Amino acid sequence: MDFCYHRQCTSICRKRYLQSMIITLLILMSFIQVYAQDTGTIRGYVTDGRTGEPLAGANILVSATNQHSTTDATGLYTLAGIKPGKHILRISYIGYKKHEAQVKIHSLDSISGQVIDNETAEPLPDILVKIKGSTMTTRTTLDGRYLIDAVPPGTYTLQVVREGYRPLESGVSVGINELSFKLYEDVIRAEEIVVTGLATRNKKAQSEVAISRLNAGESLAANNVGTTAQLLNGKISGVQMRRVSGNVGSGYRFHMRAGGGINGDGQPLIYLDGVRMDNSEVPGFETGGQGLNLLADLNPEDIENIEVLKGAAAASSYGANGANGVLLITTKPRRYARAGSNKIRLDYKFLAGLNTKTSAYDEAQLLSAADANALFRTGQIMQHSLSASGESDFVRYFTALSSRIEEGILNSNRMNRKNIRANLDVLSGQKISFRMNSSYTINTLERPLNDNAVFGNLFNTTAAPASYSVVQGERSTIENINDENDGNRFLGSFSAHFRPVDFFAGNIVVGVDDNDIRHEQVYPASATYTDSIFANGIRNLSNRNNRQFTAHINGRLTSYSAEALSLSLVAGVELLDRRETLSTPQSSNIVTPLIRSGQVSDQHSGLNEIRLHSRQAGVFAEGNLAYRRRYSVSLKVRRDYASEIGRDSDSVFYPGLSMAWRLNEYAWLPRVFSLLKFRGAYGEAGNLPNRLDKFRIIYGSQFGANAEGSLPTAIGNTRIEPERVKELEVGVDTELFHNLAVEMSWYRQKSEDSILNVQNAPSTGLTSSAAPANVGSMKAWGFETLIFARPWHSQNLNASFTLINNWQTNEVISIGNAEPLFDRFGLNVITEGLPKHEFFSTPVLGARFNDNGTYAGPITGAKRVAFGNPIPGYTGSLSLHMKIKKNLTIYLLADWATARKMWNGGKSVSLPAGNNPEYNMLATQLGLAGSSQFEGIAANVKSVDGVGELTPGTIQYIAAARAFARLDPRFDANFIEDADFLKLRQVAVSYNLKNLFSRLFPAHSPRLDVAVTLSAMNLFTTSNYSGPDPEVNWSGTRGLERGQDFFTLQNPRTFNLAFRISL
Amino acid sequence: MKTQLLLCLTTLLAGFLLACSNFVNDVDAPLDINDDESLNDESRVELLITGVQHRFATTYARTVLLADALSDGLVFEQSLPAATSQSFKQIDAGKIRLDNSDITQLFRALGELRFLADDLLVRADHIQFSDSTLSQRVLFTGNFYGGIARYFYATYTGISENEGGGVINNGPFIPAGMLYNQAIEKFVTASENTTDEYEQRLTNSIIARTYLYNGESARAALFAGDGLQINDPPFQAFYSQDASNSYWSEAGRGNTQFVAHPRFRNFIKEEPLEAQRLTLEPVDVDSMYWRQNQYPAFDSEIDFISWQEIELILAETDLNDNNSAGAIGHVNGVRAFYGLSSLMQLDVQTLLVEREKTLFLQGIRLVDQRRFNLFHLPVGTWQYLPIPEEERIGNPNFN
Repeated sequence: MDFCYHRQCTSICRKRYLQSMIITLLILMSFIQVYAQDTGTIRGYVTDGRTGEPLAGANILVSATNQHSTTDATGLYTLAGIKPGKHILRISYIGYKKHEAQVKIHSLDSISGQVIDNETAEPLPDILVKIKGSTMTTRTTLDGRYLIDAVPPGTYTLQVVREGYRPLESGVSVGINELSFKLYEDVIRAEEIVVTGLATRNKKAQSEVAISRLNAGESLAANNVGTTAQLLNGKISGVQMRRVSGNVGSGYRFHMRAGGGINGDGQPLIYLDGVRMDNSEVPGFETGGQGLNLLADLNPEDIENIEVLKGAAAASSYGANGANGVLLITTKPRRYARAGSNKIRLDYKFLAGLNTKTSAYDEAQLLSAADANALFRTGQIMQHSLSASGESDFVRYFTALSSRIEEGILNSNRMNRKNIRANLDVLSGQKISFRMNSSYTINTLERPLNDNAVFGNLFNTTAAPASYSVVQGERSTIENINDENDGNRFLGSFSAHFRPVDFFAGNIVVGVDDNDIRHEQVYPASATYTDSIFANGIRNLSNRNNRQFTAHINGRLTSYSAEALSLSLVAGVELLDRRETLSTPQSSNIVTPLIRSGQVSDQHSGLNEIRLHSRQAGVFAEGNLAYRRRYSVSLKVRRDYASEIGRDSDSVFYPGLSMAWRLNEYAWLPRVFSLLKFRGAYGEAGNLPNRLDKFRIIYGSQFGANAEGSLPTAIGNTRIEPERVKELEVGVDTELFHNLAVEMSWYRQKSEDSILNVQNAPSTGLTSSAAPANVGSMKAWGFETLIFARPWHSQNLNASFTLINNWQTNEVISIGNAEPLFDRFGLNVITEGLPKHEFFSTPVLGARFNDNGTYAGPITGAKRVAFGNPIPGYTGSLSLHMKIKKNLTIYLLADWATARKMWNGGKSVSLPAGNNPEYNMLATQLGLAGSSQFEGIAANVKSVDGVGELTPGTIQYIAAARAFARLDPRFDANFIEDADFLKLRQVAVSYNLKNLFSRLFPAHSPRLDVAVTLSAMNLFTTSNYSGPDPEVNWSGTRGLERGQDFFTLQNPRTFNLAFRISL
Repeated sequence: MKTQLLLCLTTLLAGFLLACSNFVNDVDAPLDINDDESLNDESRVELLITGVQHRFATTYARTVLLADALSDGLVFEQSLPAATSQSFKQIDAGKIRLDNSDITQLFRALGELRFLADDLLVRADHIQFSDSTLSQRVLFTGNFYGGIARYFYATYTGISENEGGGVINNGPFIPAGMLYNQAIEKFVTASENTTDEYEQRLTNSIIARTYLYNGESARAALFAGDGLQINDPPFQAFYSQDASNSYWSEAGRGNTQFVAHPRFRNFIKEEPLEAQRLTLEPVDVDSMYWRQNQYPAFDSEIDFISWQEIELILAETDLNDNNSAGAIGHVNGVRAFYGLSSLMQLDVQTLLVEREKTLFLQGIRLVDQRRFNLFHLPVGTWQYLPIPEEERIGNPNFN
C-alpha cells in the first residue's frame, strides 16, 4: 500500500533570519507553514493517501533534533523552533508504512558591496542599486557601500544606476557576501532619458535624432549665470545665440541650425514643465529697437535641465510650431535630498557682481569719444536665492525664492526680479502620480534709449562731435527719460501620470502662462527738445496681457511580442488657447512730471487696442519598433489645426520617420567602443502664419470729412497655410575608451510654401497691403560636431574639454511673384539665389574725377550686389572643465564665429556730422570740408587744422578721393564689415569648502556643502569689426534686420562672486 | 485588454480629429479689427457707404491732379524747391515709366474704389435689410461709385499712349468705349434706386458727361437736359487732415510742385473778373510762378460735377447741332454767374476756353485736349495715365 503526500511551507518574514521551507513527502498529503524569527516552523497535515481522510495521532519526528509532534483530529501537526538547514522527517502511524522525507529550511540573506568609479577608484555615494524585476532597492552611502536586506535565496541580477555613469548589471546569488561594482562615467550622458518627441522619451544612446541636453545644475555649480540664455550659450551644437544689446534684460537672438525656413525667426518653441511658454518679444515702445525679452523672467537657479530638439527631423511631432526647434525646460527637482541626509535640503546662494564696459571709444576714431565713454558706469549685481527641497514616502517638493537686482553699464538700466517657485510631486513612482509646478515672477526693468532713437544715449554722444545737440546739450534731459517695464507672470502646470497596467501609461498635463507687462515711457517736461512734440513732455503707456493655456493628453501602449522585440504606440492631443491684449494710450504735452496723466496734458493721442485670440490643436501618434537594442525605427504623424490657418485650407499633416542602428550591441565590435550608433531621421514641421493673415480683408476705420467709414487696411489670404520645413538628418554618436565622445550630424532642410507678401494687381482693389501667400522656398544644409574628451580622470585631477564646431549655409530658391523683401534699413534681403538675411546693397567701386582732376563722386555699381551674411557660416566653442583635488573647479568657455558681416550704421551717421577724424581729414584734403557738394555729405565737416588741400591729379589726391568714396555715407555698402570674432565668454573658478567646514563643524559634516565661485563673462574679445561689439543688433531679436549695429549698446563684461551653502 | 485600449485610444483620437477644427475656429473676434465677413450686417452698412465715399474723394483728387499734370493745365516747375518728385516730372512731360510710383498708387486707389463699390452690391445680396430705404441707398451707392470708377478708367487711363481703357479685377484690358457703356449702365441703375430728385439729376448729369466723352453728343444733350439745374449745388468730394485735397498738397499751399500754366494768369490779367472763377496766387511774394488757390486748405472740397458744367455740355451739344444761339445762352448763363460779360459769338475754341476756365482743376482739360486734338506734347508721349507695370505683371489675364 503506497501513499503519496505533498507538503508545502510558506513563510512570513519578519526579521533578518526569517526562515521558510518547502518540503515534499511521499507519505500523506499535508500542508506546512512556517512562523519563526531565527528558526522556522514546519506545519502540515497527514492524511490517508488513498481516501484523503485525516489521520489523527500520527507521529512526526525530526531525526537530527529529536523534536517531534503528533497530528490532531484534523491531521495537522506543528513543529516549531526548527533551525535552517536540511532535516529528515520521520512519519509513523499505526497500520501505515513508515515514511521519511527530506525538508530544507532556507535562510533569508542580504547582498552587499561597494560602488566605485572605475578610473579614480573613488567610492560613489547616492547610487541606486536595485534587484532587477523586483521592488528591492537601496542607495549607496557616502563611502559607496550598499546593502540590500532580506533577500530570498536565489540568483538575481543587480542593477547599479547613477546619472552620469553607465548603468551596470551583474548576476549574483544570495549568500555571496560582497559584490562590488566599478562604474564607467557616461561621458556623453548617453544613458540619460531624453525627450524624443512630444510624448516620447528614450535613452540618448538609443535616440534616433540629435538631441542635446544641458544639465543646468552642473552648469550652475561650476559657474554663475544670470539668465537662462547664458546657460545655453556655446554649449549646444548647431545653436547660435547672440545677446543683441548690452542692456540688462535684453533678448537673445537664436539661430537654430540654418534658420528654420524663410519665415523662421530662429526663436524655438519653448516648453516649461510641459507648458508652452510665451516667448514673444514684446515691442512696447522699443527704446529705439529693443523689445522686451520674456525669457528674462525665468530664474536659471530653478532649472534642472534643458533639452534641445534642433530641427524639423527631431521636432516633427510638434507640427506647425516646430520648424525652429524646441527647447524643453524642466525645473527642479528631478533629484532630491541625498541619501544619508535628513531628507530636507536647504540651499542658499548669495551673489554679488559687477557689469563694466568691454570696449572704450577711441578719440582717434571718434571725436566725441570722451562724452561716449562718460556714459558708462560700473553696474552692480546682487542676488539672493533660497530653496528647500525634500521628500517623504509620498511627496517630494521644491520651493525657491530669489531676488536679483542688476544694474547695467548705463545709468538708466536696472533690473529688479523676484521669483518664487513651488513644485510638488505626489505619489511619485506609484501607479498614479501627480506633479504641480508653479512660479510667480515680478520683474521691473528700466532701460535706456539707444539704437534707432533720436534721444538715445549713444546717438547723442557718438553721432556728432557736439554731444546732446537734440536736447540743447543737456545730458540730464536724456538721462531723465524714463522707460520702465513692470512685469508680473504666473507659470503653472499640473500633470498626472497613471500606469494602471504594465503595458499602458497615460499622461495629462495642463498649464497656464499668464503675464502682464506695463510699459511706461516718459519724456520729462521742462526740458528742451528740438522736436516740438516733446516741448512739454510726453507719456506713453502700454499694457500687455498674454494668457495662454496648454493641455496635453497622451497614452502609451507597449507590447513585447518576444524578449528581443518591443513595440510601443503613443497617441495624444495637444491644445493651446492664447489670448493677447494690448492697449497703448498716449498723452502729449504733460505740464508737470509730478502728474503725468492725461488730465493735465493738452493732448491725448491714440488709444490703440489689440485683442487677439487664437487656438491650436494637434493630434499626434507615434509608433516605435525596436529589436535587441540594435535597431529601432519610429514613425510619427501629426495633424495640426490652428486659428492662424486660412479657413479655406485644410488642416496640416506632418510626418516623421527615424531610425537608429547601434553597432556597440554586436559582440564583434571592439570593446573600445562603448557606444557606436548611426542614426537617420526625416521630419517635417512648420511655421504658422501671422494671426491676421487668414482674413480675406481687414477693415479699419477712417475719419473723413464727414463721418467714420470702413476701409481696407490689410489684405489677407483665406488659403494661407504654415510654411513647411522638411529636414533630413543623419549622424553618428560614438564613445571610445569611456573618455572620448564624438557626435556628428549632417542635415539638409527644404522649406516650402514659405509665406511672403505678394502685391495683388491694382485692378483687384485688394491692394491696401501686399497679401500673404505660400509662394517661397529655401534650402539649407549644415554639419555640426561635438567632441568631448577627458584626458585626465583621477582622484586629484579631472579635466575634460568640449569642442563644438558648426557649419551652415542656406539659399532662398524662390520668392514666387513677391518682391524681394528688405528690412527697414534696406540692407538685409530675402531674394532668390542668396542666403536669407544677406546684405544686399549698391557697391562703391572707386572714385570719379572731373576733367580738371577734382573729385566728382563715387563710382557705384549699377545694381545691388551681395555683401555676405550676418549669420556666421562657421561657429564653434571650446570649453574646459577641470576639477582639482575634488574641491577646486575651473571652467573656461570660448566661442567664435567666422564668415560673417556686420553693418556699422552708427559710423555712417557720424561721418557726415564731422565726428570721424579720418573722414574729416579726407574731406579737408579734397577741399570738401564745409561744402554742400554731393548732397552735403561734408557740409558739417570742419577743416582739420594743419591739413592742407591736396592738388587734384596727384597720386595723393587720387588716393584720398578713393578713400573718401569708400566712406561716402550715402552708400550703406561702405559700412558692411567683416565681423569674425573670438570671445572668452565665461571663466569661473569654484572652490568647495566642504572639507574645511567638515573639520570646523564635524557634527554637521555629512550634509553641509559650501562653495565659493568667482566668475567672469566676456572677459576678452578679438574681432575685425570696427564697432564696439560684433554681436549686437539694433532691432532686437526678431524681424529681418540682422547684424546691424546702429548706436547699439555693447555687451558688458561681468564679474560675479557667489557663495553657496547647502544643508 | 490591449486591443480594447487600442480601440479606446483610436476612438478618442478620431473624436479629437473631428472636434479640433471646431475648437480652433471658436475664437473671439479681434478687437477693433473688422474682417470682411463681419461687415455683412445691416448695422455696418453706413460704415461701408462712408468708406466708399472716402475712397472716392481721395481717388478723385489724385486722379484729377495727375490728369491736370498731364494736360497743359498744370506745369511741373523744377525750379521750385519743393518740386522734387521725379514721378510728377515724368507725368508732366508725358514720358511716363510704367513703374511710375504715383501712377501705381493711383491705380491701387482706383482699383479699391471699384472693388468697394462693387463689393457693396455683393454684400447687399447677403444682408437681410429691415430698412428698405437703407437697402436702396446701398444699391444707389454701389452703382453710382462703381460707375464713377469705370468712368475714371475710361477717361484717364490707357494701355498705350493713345488708347484709353482700363482693367477690372484681374480681367483683360477693356477699351474706354466699353467702360463708358458699363459706367452708364451703373449710373442708370443707381438712378433707378433713388427717389431723391437731386440724385436723379446728378446721375443724369454724369451720364451726360459720359456720353459726351464717348462721342455721343445727342444722348449727352438728352441727359444733360435732365441734369443739374442752375443753382443746384455741385456734387463734391470732401477732404480732411487725414485725407487731404491733392491740389493743396502738391500744387498749392500745402506743397507746390505744380504751378498753373501762365495763360491762366494772363486770363486774369486780361479780365480781372476772371478771378471769380480762376483763383490763383504767386508761389511766394516775388515769385514769377503762380499756383492755384482754388483749394486753399487741406480740406477744400473739389467739385465733381456742377450745373455750370451741364450748361457747358448743353452749349457743346447745341454747337454740334448748329444751334449757336442756344449754345451762347448756356455759356452766358455760366459767365453771368461769375459776373462776366456776355459773349456775342461762340465757336468750339471759345467754348473750350470757357470750359478750361470754368472747370479749372477738375480733370477736364486733359479730356478736352484729346477730344479736340489739342494735345500739347509731342507725338509718342502719353495722353493717358498708363496702366502700370504692377498691373501688367501681376494680372495673369492682362493682354
